[in-house]
Amino acid sequence: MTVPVGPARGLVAVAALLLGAVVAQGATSPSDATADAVPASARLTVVPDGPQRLDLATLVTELPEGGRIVDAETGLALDAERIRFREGAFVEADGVSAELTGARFDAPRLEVNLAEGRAVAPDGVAYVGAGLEVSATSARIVFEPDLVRFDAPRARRPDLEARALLVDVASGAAWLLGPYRYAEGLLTLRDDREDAVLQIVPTTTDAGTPTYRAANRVDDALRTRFAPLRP
Amino acid sequence: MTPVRCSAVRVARAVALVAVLAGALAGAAFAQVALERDPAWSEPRVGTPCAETGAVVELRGVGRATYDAIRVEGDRGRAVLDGGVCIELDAQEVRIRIAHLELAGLELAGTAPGDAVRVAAEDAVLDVAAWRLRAGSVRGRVDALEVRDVVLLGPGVLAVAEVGTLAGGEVRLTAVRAATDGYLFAADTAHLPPSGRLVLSGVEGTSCRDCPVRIRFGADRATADLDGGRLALAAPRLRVLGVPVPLGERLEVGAGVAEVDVPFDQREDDALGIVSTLRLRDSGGAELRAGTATAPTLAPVLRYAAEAGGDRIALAADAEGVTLAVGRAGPAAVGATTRVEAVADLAGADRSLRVGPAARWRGTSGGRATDVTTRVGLGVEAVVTPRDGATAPRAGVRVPAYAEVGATRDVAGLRLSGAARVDAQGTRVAGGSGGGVRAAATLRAGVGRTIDVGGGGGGTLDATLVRRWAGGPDPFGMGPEGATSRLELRSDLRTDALGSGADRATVRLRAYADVRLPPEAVGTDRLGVDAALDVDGAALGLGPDAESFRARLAVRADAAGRFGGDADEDGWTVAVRATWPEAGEASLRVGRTADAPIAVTLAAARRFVLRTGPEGGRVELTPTLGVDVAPWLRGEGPPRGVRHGLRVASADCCGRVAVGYVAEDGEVRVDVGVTLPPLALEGPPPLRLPARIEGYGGTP
Repeated sequence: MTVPVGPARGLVAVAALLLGAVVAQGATSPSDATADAVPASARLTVVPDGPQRLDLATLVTELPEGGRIVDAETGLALDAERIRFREGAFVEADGVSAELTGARFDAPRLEVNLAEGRAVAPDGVAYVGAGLEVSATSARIVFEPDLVRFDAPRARRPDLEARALLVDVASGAAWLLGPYRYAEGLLTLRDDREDAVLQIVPTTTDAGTPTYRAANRVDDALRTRFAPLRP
Repeated sequence: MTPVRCSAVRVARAVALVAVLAGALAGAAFAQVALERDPAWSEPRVGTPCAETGAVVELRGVGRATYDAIRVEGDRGRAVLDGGVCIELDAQEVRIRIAHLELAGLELAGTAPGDAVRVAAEDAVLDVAAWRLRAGSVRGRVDALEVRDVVLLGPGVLAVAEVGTLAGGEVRLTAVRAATDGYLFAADTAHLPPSGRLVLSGVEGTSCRDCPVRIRFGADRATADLDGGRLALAAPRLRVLGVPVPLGERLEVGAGVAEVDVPFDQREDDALGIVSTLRLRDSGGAELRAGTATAPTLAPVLRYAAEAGGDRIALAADAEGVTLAVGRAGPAAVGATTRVEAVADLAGADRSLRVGPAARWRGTSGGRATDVTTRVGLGVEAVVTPRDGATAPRAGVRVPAYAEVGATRDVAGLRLSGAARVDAQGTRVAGGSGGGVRAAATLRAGVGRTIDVGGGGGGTLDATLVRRWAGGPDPFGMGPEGATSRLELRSDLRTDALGSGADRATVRLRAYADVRLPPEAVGTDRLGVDAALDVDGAALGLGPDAESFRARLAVRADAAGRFGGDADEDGWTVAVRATWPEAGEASLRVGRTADAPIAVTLAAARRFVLRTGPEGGRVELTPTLGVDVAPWLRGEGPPRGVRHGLRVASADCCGRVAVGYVAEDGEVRVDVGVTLPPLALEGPPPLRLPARIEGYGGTP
């Protein structure tokens, strides 16, 4: 059963709100979703751009005209053209622009597993992080610490291609998994081996110009951190 | 005492004096280099490119490198490569293998454009063309590297240097010491251009490794050939007794080298007999030859020639006269060269002065199997003959000209050749007192073949048919008396008769025939055969004690005359010679020459060691004596001495200097020999030119 929620259906909305509060903790049901953010629980803050539909059977809420959701636990904030979510379980968004620890993701689709603290962008993604601008065919995000795995990434700054790119969102440190190509100034590093790894770490010159340090000997701490992203 | 004997004694005294001086030679120690080739240097093989796969870094404008580990510090414009680093530079055809490399001055994002990339590395291995260098350190801009503590390894050559540069794909080393299998060298500089040939400048070398250096050879420039480990010396010279002896323009040393340009020449001349000269050249190209002739005995011979910028001067003085020639090159046009020359015969029977211009043109063209050569020449000479006794001075004009076309073509393993030549000369004597035109036409057709007789043997067979018309004063109105036809046959075969290696006997057979052909059958026929069998002791089954024994059986016969008519043998010879290396030789020769009875000559030479010094140095004396026993056999008198000689040598493990003379049949020949094992400058050897063929070639 789907319960329409919106300004035109005030009574139904109130009833649904009451019902939702009872049978599904955390279900979001703003009385005026187009105006104010209505925290349904301590974790998600939802600001719909239009109506919300709550499926009482599945407790899945749909924002057909999109809106904004902020996950207080992961810090993920996303704006999307269309969103489906179930509190405590998942968020599925289309036409997404998301922010996480200062980094921005633009993706046709983003699927967030709230329970496991993971997300995937299966249909491609564009990422802008600390000194890194990447597009990829898909991405996998792990929260806390915030890590991203990009598959078949291509970037212009820095100029790189790889089988996969693992990024620590907070520090900007990244691994290119081979085969990879990485260019910085007049340098181009290549490795055609599947097990090759190149670690790049953003830094700045004395003049404050951003650049990178690159090495094919990686930090053990980063190896441990990236473990969840490695197959 | 005959003049010949007087001369021989003088020569013998001079030889003995030089020998004593040579024996007192004090050698200066040559800087010894103790080098061994490390087999590990061969891995990976020289020329092996850096890996195409794996970890690769490309440095735009610098090159590419493979490595085990890399660390790029963009904020410092620096890169550090470790472990199995292999670099191929763009600017130079150079490959560097190194364990640790630091690159600085990299223009990375965030760094200001710097100077050229700088390299710093220790203990590097560099491949330059087919040469391998190991450098204690490599530093500097990537397009102009400085290398230190360099060891260079190439085909047949090993060299060390303290410092050098690597720029533009060229390696330049200074204060170089080099070693080959047979020689040690010191050079001011070594240059290894991209062509891959090692060029040494200011070279001095020796083959002495185990004793003080008494003999050195040097060159302005030496080039090591990559293919055979040979060293070609430009302007080579020997230093014997501290005296430099030029060795001509070029000399090759190394394994299997036979191209040694000794400064001694020996030629046979119609009028002067055997002419022996020492050749001296200066760096400007002037050449002086001085020596003696055998007709008359020890008559002085002097030749001098110098040429610069097309101007040429030549002086020839001998028993025949003195000739001075001065010439200047004229303008060149349509591929032809022109020249104005004045020739003055200043002494002798035909004194004259000839002045005039001449033009020559030579063209060649070739296809896949055919080569065509064309020659054309035309000159004009004013000739002045001075008064000579009762003969009044004369003057005239002479116009010599020639044209020739020749072609060769390979057909089915045969080499076919043909040539046509026309010579003409018009003469006009001043005052209408004479002159005319003389001309000749010559046609040649030949066929030759290279044959393989198996067992490493081989040879050539050639046959040439020559027809010539000559006459005058009407240029081409020649009758039968002016026409001749001849067939020239040549063969040269060589084969190993008793296997190869130590058990070897080599047979060489050479033969020639020049035969008149009908219908005219003008001139003489000539036939000759020269056969030699070289055999060593092992091949003769003389046992291991005879390993050093070598023997030669030689048979030579020549005949000339009108065979089929009034046959008149020119001469023949049968000779047997046995040689014991380091000991002596003995020979028996039976032969006769035209108008002389048969001679039976027994000759022997025996080497005596007069003094043996420390380190193997010794002085050797080798007298030679030959007698003709034919008069004694015929009961006409005692044996007649026909040959005597003496050779004195100072020898040690570093080489040998020898001087000597041989007087035979009224001819005295002086020999000077220098031997640096395995560099041998023995000479000049006895020389006999092929039988002269009359009536062919040259202007009428």
